[in-house]
Formats: sequence, structure tokens, C-alpha cells
Amino acid sequence: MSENKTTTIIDELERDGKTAYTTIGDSMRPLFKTHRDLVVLEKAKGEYKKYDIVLYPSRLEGKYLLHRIVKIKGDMLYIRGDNTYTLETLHKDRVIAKLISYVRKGKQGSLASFSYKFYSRLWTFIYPIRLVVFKTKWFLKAIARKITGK
Amino acid sequence: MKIKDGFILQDMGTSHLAVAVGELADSFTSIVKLNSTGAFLWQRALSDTTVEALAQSLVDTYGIDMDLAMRDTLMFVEILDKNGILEK
Repeated sequence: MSENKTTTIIDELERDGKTAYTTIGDSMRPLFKTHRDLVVLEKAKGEYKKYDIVLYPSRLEGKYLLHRIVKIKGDMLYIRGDNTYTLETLHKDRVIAKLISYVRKGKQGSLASFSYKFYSRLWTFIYPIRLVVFKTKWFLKAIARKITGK
Repeated sequence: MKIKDGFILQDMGTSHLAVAVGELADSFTSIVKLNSTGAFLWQRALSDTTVEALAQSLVDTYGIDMDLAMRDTLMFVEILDKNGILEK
């Protein structure tokens, strides 16, 4: 019973090669919402495919980001959150872990399921449209602020 | 006593991890790692129970004697209690 204890994600990845954690932040919405969903991560093995979701250190010390690979060129990964509008580049050696499973809205999800695959590909594919919608909203809000003076 | 609401118990193959979600995730940021007995007790402690009832469920399921079951259960409850996972 002494095996039962509290631990942290990085410790668990080191020791067991796998961990689970609740997501923080909205950068992977609509897939994951802050503190609603659970992600199961496997320690990085150096093999990545487009659409994989990976964990890597943020520029802020002690913080980690979990975003999606949208393009691969040699050893460089191009990464974007499903709800962010900037493209990050990352050397594949900096990846700490990869998403292998998840619990969303209390239900076990599978990366092999049709709905997950369909969502991943469609969401990445329609990025230019999402960007236009995002920029338009931002622009309209800016105008509204000017008119109302708020 | 019972385990606070707001944990998801995830089967990781060789172990189980309990992770806080929802409001509880703001205050509870660790992960609870459980072996198969721990996961068994965890599921039974999701609704109101006692140390004796938990130990008895170990005796009934695993066929171990009551002394060992009590020792394991007390250790389990102590870890949970120390980490603020229990509601009394």
C-alpha cells in the first residue's frame, strides 16, 4: 500500500513513462476546457505525426503547453493550440510527452475514433477560416469600443 | 467519510491515477497514484463509508485476513486524509 501516494506529472512521466492530468487554459478549446477534461500523456519517444498533441516547456519557467502539431519539416515541429492564432516552432527534442488518450466531459475518448480524427483534421484544415472569423470579431469589437468609448 | 467529489480515476495499465477536475482542481494540483488495491478502495470510498466497511470489502474480495485488510485500509485512509482528499 505504500505505493499509493500523491505525485506530479513530470515525476510520473520519468518513472512510469505515462501520466494523466487535468487540462489548464483555453488554448485547446473546443477539445479541452480548463479543469473539465483529463489528458493521458506518454513520455516522448521522438516519433511524431501531423495532428499529434504534444506537451512541451513554455517560455515561462515551470509551465508547460499542450498544443497540436500542424506541420512537420525535418526535426522542426510547427505547433498551434486549437484555440490560438500563432504558429510556434519547436525542435522535436524539446517535446516532453504526447497525448495518447483523454476523458472529455466525463467520457473516455480515443485518438483512434472517427470523431476525434475527423475533428483534428477538419479543425486544422479550416484554420484560415477560423483566423478570419477571429480577426473580424476582434475588428468589430475594436470599432464598438471606439463608438461607445469603453 | 468519503472521497471529495471532483476526481477522475484513470486506469493507466499498471497503476491508476486519480486527478482532480472542476473546482477541486484549483486547490488540489497533485495526482494520486494508486495500485490495484488502492483503486479498489478508492471506488468504494466514493460514497460514504467507514474504515471497517472498506477493510471488510478487501476481506470479501481478496480473501485476505482482517488484520492485514485493516492495516492496508488505515494506510490508505491516512494518505487520503493527509492530502485533504477525504470529506468527513
